[in-house]
Amino acid sequence: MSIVGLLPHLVNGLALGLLFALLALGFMLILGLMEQINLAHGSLFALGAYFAYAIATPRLPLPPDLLAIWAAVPLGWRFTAAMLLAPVLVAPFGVVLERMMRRTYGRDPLYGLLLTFGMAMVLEELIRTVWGTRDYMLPVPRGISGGFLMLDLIWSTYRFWAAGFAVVAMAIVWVVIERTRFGALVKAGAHDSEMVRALGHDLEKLRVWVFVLGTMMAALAGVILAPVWGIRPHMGVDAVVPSFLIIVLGGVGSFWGAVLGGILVGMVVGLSGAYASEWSMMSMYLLLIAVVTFRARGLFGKKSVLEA
Amino acid sequence: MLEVRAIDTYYGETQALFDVSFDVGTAEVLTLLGANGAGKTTALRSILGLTRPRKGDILLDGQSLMARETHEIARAGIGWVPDDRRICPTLSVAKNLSLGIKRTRYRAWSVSEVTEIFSPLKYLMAREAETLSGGEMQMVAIGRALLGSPGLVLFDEPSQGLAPKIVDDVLSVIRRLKREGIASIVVEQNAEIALSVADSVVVLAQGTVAWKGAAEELKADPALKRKLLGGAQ
Repeated sequence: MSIVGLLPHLVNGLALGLLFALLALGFMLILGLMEQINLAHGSLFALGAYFAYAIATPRLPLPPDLLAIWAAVPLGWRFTAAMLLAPVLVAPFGVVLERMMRRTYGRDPLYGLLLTFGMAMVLEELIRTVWGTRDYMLPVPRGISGGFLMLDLIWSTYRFWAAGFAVVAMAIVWVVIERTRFGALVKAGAHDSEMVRALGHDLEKLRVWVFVLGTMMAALAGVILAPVWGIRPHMGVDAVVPSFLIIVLGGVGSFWGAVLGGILVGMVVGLSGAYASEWSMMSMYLLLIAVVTFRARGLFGKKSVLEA
Repeated sequence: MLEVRAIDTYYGETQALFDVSFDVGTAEVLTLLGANGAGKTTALRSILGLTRPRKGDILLDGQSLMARETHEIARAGIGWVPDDRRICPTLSVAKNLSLGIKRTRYRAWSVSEVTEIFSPLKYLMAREAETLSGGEMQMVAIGRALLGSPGLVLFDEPSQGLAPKIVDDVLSVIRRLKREGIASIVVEQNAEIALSVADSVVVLAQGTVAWKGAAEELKADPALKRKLLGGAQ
């Protein structure tokens, strides 16, 4: 295969990687502050995709007249509304989950794992109950769908847009984390929650807001990825594994680690898909093994006191 | 201003404080002295609600703190300068200071007032905290506590690991706080340093109050000082 022949796979991998990174950043925010692995993160991602589908197609529980008016609105507006509203609609699920997790804080991490695993199952069943088991496809507005010709190759327009959406969303998250007092509080809370409380900050409120932010990022990634992956009940499971893997690969607690980890995973999955598609998913696990064998704390992780 | 009334505090099933009582008045500097493991830090943690007493009561200006969360106790006007400073290493000095800012009913401090007291901080604002020396971290920890507008500041081993010049600076801050009407509780292993700023003293031994009284009384009685603080001077 020539280099030019590889290009679409590299670009697709990059786009996928940026979306993985967005999903993984939400996962990491929650892991950083709560010290809890949220196995329901993928289900929140799936809910985002389903809510977007309901808003854009439109299949909303509205009176027929209102629904007809909304259906007459151009798809571009409905798609934009789905991107903005789906994360807001999924946020309360994150609030409920955080509320349920409170009893597990400071305890054996297994309790949190079991709770979020149970919640993931509940959310997946809820999706099956409401939307059934069939696959759906989120329609994309004409302006950003289809393909275009470049270097004698056909490129998917939406993948470029999806990568752009992911970059913009990550840039907003970066500004929030690095340039606001809320971000400083999140970092300080992840480092030393006791001190943050002793400075007069309500850690319970902070945890809720971090969960809301992480949940909205998962849901937004779900909306953006839905036209690429399709929408199905177990898409959450397909998403949570790469998220966890990216965080370990990039180094827990590192924004740029998550971004680079996401891009690496996306590229490896994209490239291996070009040569041997049956190895596509396996390739990301091999990448993780290769990285942690030589650098146990991940690419950007802080050195542990346990390391020599 | 602060009344600690017969508190018993535990770590799990191990009792660390037994029936401990003391008072701190407005603008008073009280020092808690005692050997390692005497319960000095536990007393501060009890006041902050970080390790909650199982018995007794703690009142700030007549209001009980026992049912309040730690962040509410801090918002009531109690600042904390922990022994290991507990600065967030991945944040800049400016951001670490900003985390302390809050309004209470006590005197408000501005960042410029803090940098006037600790002039090196002016040039360190953009630096990541993990690159600071121990003395610089102590300046940030004290500055952060002041920006929280406290009526009472809890200093835990403020001289620990610091050069004599920085210790002098810290002691001058405690004296300035007193002049500004702010009370302090100073936990120290080094009795000489603590007694140089203290108005009153509580000596703890194995979690109980072994002695309490005026600092002058202890300073004037070397035999009593030897007896109480033999190993902690």
